[in-house]
Amino acid sequence: MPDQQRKTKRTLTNLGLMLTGIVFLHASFSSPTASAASGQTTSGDPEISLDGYFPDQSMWAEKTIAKYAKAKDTPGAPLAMLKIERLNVEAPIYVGTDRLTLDRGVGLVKGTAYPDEVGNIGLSGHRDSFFRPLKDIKLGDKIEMRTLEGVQDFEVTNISIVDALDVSVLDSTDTTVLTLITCHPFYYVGFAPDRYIVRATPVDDMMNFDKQKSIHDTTISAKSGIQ
Amino acid sequence: MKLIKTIVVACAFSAVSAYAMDPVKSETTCAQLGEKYEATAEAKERFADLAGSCEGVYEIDGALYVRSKMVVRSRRGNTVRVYVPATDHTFEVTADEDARVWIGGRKMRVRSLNKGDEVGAYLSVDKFANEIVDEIHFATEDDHAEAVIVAPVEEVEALPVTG
Repeated sequence: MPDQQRKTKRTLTNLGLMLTGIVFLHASFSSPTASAASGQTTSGDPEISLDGYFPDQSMWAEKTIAKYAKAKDTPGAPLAMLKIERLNVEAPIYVGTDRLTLDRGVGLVKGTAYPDEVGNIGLSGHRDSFFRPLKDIKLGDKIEMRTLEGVQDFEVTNISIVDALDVSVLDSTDTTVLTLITCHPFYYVGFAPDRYIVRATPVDDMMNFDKQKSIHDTTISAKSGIQ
Repeated sequence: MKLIKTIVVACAFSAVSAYAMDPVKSETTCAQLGEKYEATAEAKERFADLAGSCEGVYEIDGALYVRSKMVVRSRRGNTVRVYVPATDHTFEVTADEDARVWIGGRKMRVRSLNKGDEVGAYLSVDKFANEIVDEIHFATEDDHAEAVIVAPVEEVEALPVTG
């Protein structure tokens, strides 16, 4: 095959593989079930966008609705999105559990694993806003976590109530575990004394991350093979 | 940087009786304190979080204090773990046998505290916007102002507070 033809074929093959990658990424971040999507900052860094996002507030306390309205436009994109479709829960995840953070989403407990890391991912949310629907969660319910890396699905494996001082639920783990925390009882005047803990484990460990990674790897290896 | 503040005299909200450090309601309001704290960006940010924790400004022996609260998380003997909403931290304190807290207008032993009790606390205005408590001043059976028992506190780990 003449050099020119070989070059043209190589270029077209590469272009085809790149397009496959782009189509996959697009499909990954614009699933019809997700209202949040990836976007870009003004600096060009990718981030999770909250354009068009608004949480279901039908179970929220009035004061928390007001707090959300005030806090939602605070600068800073979420790390990830949490979704429990059966309970109509969809919440942005931010780092920390200070009041402002919990007013605008759910908070990643400092010292626990990040959403796309292996370990115990501790997420805390208000019992009278984002996490109030957890009162109806059941074993086997599906939880979806969306990051810029992809989507990871979890299944609820344990529900318990512990003392507010029982931090063992945040102990690090060798495998990926999702721990959702909210105050208990759900309806309580004052500072609730206990915590409602929902534990979930990956349905198919890193399934979606792997899918995305494999496409990327194929692109690289195919390129290598041609060269 | 570790910030320090002191909780002065744990006592109940209602009917603080004839005690030398009986708090007197000040003309200064929580909102006015907010204006004061707007002096620095850091303090303003902290105060925005704390505004809901200020339940009034009181004068004790000529000094101003913010009335706030602490929540009993656990108690074993005289050792109590309390959550202080104004700081969003939990602390452990071991009180002396003679230490008293005001509950329902009566001086009670620390042993009488139970999980879930909300106990009134007075925090120095100057240090209200700080994050860390370093000591708690308890009342005693003696009604003199200087008759307080100072107990050091240590921060302890706790699960986040979510409403």
